[in-house]
Amino acid sequence: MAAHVPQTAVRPLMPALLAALLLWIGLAVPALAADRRVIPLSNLRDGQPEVTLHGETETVALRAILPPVAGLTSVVLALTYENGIDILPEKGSMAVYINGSPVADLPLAAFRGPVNAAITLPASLIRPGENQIVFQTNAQHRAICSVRGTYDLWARVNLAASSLTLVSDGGVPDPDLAMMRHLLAASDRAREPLAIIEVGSEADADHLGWGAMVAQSYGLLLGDQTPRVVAVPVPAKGAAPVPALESLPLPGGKNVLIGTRDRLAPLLGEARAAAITGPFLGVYPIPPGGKAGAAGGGFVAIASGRTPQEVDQAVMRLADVSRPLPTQTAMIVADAAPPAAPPPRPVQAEGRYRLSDLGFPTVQHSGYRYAGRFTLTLPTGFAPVGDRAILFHVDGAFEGNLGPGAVLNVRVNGRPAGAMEIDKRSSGIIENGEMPLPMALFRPGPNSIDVEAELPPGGGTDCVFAVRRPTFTLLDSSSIEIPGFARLVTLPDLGTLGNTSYPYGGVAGDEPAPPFDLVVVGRDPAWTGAAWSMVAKLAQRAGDLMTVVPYTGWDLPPSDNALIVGPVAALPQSVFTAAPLPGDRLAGLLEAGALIAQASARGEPMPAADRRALAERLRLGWSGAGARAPLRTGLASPPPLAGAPGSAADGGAQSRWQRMAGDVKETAGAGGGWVPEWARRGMAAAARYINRWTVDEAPADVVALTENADSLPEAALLQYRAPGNEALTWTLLTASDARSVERAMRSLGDAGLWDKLHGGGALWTSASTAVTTLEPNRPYQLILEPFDIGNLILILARNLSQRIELLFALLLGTTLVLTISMRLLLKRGHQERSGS
Amino acid sequence: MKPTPDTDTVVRAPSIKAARPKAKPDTRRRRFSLRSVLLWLLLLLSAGLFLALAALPVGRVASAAISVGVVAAAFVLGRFARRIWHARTLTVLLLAFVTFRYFFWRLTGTLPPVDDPVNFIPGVTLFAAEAISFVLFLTSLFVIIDPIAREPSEPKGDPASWPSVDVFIPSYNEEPELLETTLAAAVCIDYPRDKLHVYLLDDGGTDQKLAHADPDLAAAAKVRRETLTALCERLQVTYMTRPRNEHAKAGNINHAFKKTDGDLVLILDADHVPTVGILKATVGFFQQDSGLFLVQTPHFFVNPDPVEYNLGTFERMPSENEMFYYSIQPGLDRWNGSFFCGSAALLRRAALEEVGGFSGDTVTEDCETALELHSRGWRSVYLPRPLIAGLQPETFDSFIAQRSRWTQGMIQLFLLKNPLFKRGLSVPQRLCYLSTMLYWFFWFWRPIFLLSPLCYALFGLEIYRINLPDFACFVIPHVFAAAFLSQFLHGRMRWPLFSELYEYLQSFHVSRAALATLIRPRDPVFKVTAKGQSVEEDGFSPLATPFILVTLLLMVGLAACAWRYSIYPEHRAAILPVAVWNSLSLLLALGGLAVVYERKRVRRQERFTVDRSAELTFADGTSIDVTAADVSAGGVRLLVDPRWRELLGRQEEPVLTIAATEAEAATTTGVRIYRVDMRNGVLSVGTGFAPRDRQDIVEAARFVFGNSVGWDDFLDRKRVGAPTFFGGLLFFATRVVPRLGHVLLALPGALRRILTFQAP
Repeated sequence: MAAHVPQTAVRPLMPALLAALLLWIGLAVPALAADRRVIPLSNLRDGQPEVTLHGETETVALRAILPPVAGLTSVVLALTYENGIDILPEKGSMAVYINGSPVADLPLAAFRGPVNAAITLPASLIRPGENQIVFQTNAQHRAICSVRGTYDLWARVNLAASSLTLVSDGGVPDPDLAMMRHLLAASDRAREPLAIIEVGSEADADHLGWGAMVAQSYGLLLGDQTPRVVAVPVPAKGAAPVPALESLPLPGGKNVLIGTRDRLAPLLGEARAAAITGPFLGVYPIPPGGKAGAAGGGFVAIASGRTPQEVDQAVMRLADVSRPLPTQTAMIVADAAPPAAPPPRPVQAEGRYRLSDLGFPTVQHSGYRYAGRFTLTLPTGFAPVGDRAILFHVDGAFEGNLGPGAVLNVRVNGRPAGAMEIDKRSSGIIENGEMPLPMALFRPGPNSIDVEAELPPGGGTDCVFAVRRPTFTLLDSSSIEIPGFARLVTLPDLGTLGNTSYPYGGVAGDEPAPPFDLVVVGRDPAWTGAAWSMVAKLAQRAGDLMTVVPYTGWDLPPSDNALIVGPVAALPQSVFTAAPLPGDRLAGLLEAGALIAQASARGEPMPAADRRALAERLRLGWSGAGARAPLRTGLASPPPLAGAPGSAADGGAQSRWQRMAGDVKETAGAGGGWVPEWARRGMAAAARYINRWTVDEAPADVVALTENADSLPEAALLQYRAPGNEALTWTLLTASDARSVERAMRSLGDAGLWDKLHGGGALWTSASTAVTTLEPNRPYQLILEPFDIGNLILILARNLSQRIELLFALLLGTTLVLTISMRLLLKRGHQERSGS
Repeated sequence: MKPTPDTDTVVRAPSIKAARPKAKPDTRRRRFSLRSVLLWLLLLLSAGLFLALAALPVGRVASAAISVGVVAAAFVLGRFARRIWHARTLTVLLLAFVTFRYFFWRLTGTLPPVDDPVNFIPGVTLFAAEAISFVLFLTSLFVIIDPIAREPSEPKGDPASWPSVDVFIPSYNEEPELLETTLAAAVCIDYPRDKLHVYLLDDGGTDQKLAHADPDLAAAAKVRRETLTALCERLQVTYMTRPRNEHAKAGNINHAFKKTDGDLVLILDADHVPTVGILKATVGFFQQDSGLFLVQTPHFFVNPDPVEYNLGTFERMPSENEMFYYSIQPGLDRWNGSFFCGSAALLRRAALEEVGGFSGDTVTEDCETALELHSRGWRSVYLPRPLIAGLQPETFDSFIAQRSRWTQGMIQLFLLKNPLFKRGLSVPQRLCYLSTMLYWFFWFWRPIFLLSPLCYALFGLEIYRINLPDFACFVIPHVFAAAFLSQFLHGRMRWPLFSELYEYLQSFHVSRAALATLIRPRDPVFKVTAKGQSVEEDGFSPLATPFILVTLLLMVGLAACAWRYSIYPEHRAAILPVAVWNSLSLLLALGGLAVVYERKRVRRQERFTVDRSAELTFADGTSIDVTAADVSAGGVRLLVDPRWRELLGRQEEPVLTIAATEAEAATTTGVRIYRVDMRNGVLSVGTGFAPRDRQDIVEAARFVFGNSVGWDDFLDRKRVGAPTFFGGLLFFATRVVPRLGHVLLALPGALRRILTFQAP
């Protein structure tokens, strides 16, 4: 079954194979038209299009979602890889597994340059939907058999040049509703955005809200990959000739059309529109050919209804990924129940967890350096007391002739957390070896724990005599013990947002995050698309659909947590009242960044001197030397900051969305209904005062942001506390123009910038993979489970741990009061007893 | 306490009911005044916050920083503690805070998981031991927070109206010589003759004893009765015995109690020699308060106990009981919780009559009687003046026998008359008695504390989950603060490690008696503590076996720690604290070994230094001037000019006349010269009292036990030399280490005997 086809073996056979292939094609072509679907492996993950495997052994798994194809005849995995020169060829190999079955064992002899390997796989090995491709290297150094030598061992798979090719007789069949979800997540179209088609040039709140729900479900379907959603406007009836559905200029094969029947009818045609007799879901294939349907399998899904309420139902059914859709191309939604909440994601709260509980099996490593990893997912609001530690109880064993310096290192989220000395004096068995890992290194959401054992040989580093290598076993009975921690969220924190979506999504304490306002200010569809991409990513990290209240334009400041998206120059000044950066300066900064990024995107990078001059002009403007001058004549002068550029909000639609959000709030609040509102408010007020003790305000230094003129940002994601007394959070996604935000959103996913978010603000440019982080300027805290006494004690402990002088003063004061009151109470009794 | 209208005339109340203490009419009203309610509210709030801060799980760095800050603040405040009440209390509370923090941390962060019973069960046992000692710590703090320092209260008014006093000296098997001293001192007590009656209550010559089936024992009892009768006649003391030996000491006293009618009763053990001023110092309290049933005074011992003797600390360090008598009893007194200690106490007959005399349900009849009377509203007073001089057990086994009885009695009381549920007691009194009784569970926690490190060292059991940083940040501050607090409160009376040593020495043997009492609380019977025993030669006590074994185990444990440290690098952070703990246990165990390896000890009277001019007159009328250098109950050491050496060699009994001073009258008695030595150019002459008649006996007793100023000086001399905490540790080491050479030499033989199932 496995095809071990190393490059050296393939070459002599190539002419014969080619001839046979040509003959077969020549015979076959008249009979049928073969579908050839190439999935670049770079589609399978965000970030750099390569996988590097280090050390003596390492395993990397990729997740491939394959579209359903009819008559699959051939599957070829083409790999391009290279490896370090220090690997001993006889002892180096890279095994490839598909869905757990070994399919190739490639030699690691590619140190002169990249080599290609094509592995033909039996069609039965893969399946529509999720498949797993695993690379596992085994390597040994040519000359240095020691820990140091293991760092020279590497193998790299070029994902962009590697692919999985599916050849089938029938290609992708016409989609039905059930298949549509597979197609949405399919890896062959992973780089294509989801297009949400908007009929009419004016974006309205309904469309924004419906799109946000669909985008979220798209994010959930994609798993870990960053979703990209775009808005495609189609002129409404009367404005221009409405094209037919089949002839729409769509950016890709994944499209969703949402709206009321009346609004969509011109696009759908009479016959299709007539089928919409209630909450309607349908899917129509895009004919092959053209940009969108080139590869086949493209589709346009329809969510519609006669009234907005029916569209709501259709959209909610479409977005509910917990319920399968039927295998038919259209349906009237009869079960209009709101999306069911998925089972809560397993998180590790206080307690002890074996590694087997965390999905880490017992491993045995033979060599000089072992590296393994497991993940600990901590709940939202995880806020440990300063210097407490999570205990890692190590059960393991090692054997072989170890030299001095043998050590077991543990890193948490990439930072050194603990080490345990292992050397030849030890018994070989590690039983319940306790390693404290500082809790401060952990964060809410997934935490990566890397275990690395360095096992230097006792008898020198000569590989000739290194017959018996040390062996290290890490047993899955090892455990992680988490002590109590406070449930407290300190905001702003884009790290928390990026990991858990809080405060917009996810579960915090015992309650889901409350609905939030999604505000889009900006006429260009790019802003709507950016907003949908954001909510899709947030839903993905939250693991559930979030409830949004959509707003287009800016009439009044949001009254809940808000995600605000819009061009920096068009945002009203009130948006920036509490922001870490002033609006005008941010606008100047982003405009300058956009100029540089745009030049880079054109392939004509701006000269360094021009960049520096640009930054200098910015600084001069901020220093008060004059009014803010336009940076470039080509960029239109920005409109005034004040005022709401968007259309007036659709009052009816918004009230409907608010009502739906209110229902969610009530449902969520039912669990904590015993707590009166005044108590909640009192607790919030107390939290505000605690904030004053424990947080330091640090205004952002805007000028410092211009110091590196090479990477002036073109987009900003800022989080801050909303103006007013309520502890509300605003997160602002902004750029200077629509193209900038498109580029920025693309780089957020492609360059893996999402996982680099932290602090109170992130500024980045598509011209670079770096993110500039702003420290939170006015941190504030939200107490989760505010009526849990234990939690309050832990919060107090956490805060007072940082203010020892306050704790000490409190203690002295308390003791003094206690002493004085005791004295006053005891004095008379003492006198009576002593007779004095 | 306000004096009642009849303070200066009548001590004995006309009826029992009339003698009941009356509650002051305004007390209840005052208790519920607005001010006191507010104060109570403030107290409760601040106490709650204090506890909350202690329980706050701040990180270890913050915790250590707070502990250091607290200790530093306490150190500064402690300087003012003697003058300012608030400074003392603040110091106590701040230091206690560190211990509170430790305890909460211990509770929440160090117990083994429940699903690991091999570690959990011993871990919880250790925690239970700590919890009990923590409760004792709390109640002790309550007891000593506001102590009372009383001065003697002399009787007022016409001596004819003073209350009459019966002096009861119960005896069982004490030698006549010992009794003679006590009786002579008793008859010398400075009190109107017609109001003082001394009774020797002999339980060794009862009719039952005389009729004993064993003719030898019967004959010995008969001889004893005759001897003591003669002694009593000579000293004009009433000899009293009874038909049967029922209810031990309590029964003996009750028998006499029914046959006498003094208003007050002074109880003296047979070996407790009173000063002449004992009644003058105490009777006044009864005149002031008709609701008073007891005035207790300390027991001052003139001989070293086995620990003091074998470690050589008697002359330098305060005795074990001084902490109780000079720190705790004044604290108990504050809460009207001072209790009867069996001797050196004056009691009101009317109160005793109300409860039918001395209680006899337990073997500690003294504390039991006080508990009964406190629960009926009677009050007690403690006077911290040494007014009797007594003897302690001198061998380790008699010491253990005495402590076993006390332990049994306190456990009996705890089980049969638990103060927490006893009706009539005030809350402070309940806490006082609880504190007193809980101490006597030391046999439970002390061996556990001592041996717990072995669980890990020998078996790898993790019963106390700790690592080095936690040890440094929680345990060390706690240990240091607790030691500092102990030093602060009791440092003049109790030096570092000696409390632990006494508990350790008692715990193994006492635990047997304690466990038996727990199983059958009504079984224990009163056993008289043997006094005046001697140790014939150096060697291990017959009770030394557990101490030898424990020491060896701890040595093995320390070696195991070293082995583990070398072979389990991953566990070093846990091994180091265990090794430190094991080392401290071993130090204590070595101290115990140094005690149970007893030094040869011949019985002799303890001497007190004096400096009095005297004259020695021989039969031929020759008189020479001498100086009395020291004195004991048996005789005087004189310093004489060498030219009189020949005169001193005569075989005769000269008359010694000690010159009067401003405070004391002259004393004349016959003496017998035992030895003459030349020391530093002066003749040192050892003499023994050889009284010519009763008058000589009385005068000698008056001279020796005339006043307790010398005793106070003796006590103060040792207290002012109290070391610092670290100095105390060094002192402990200097007492123990020099003894270890002898111990190690004797150890192989002792081990051999242990292995062949003989006493070492």
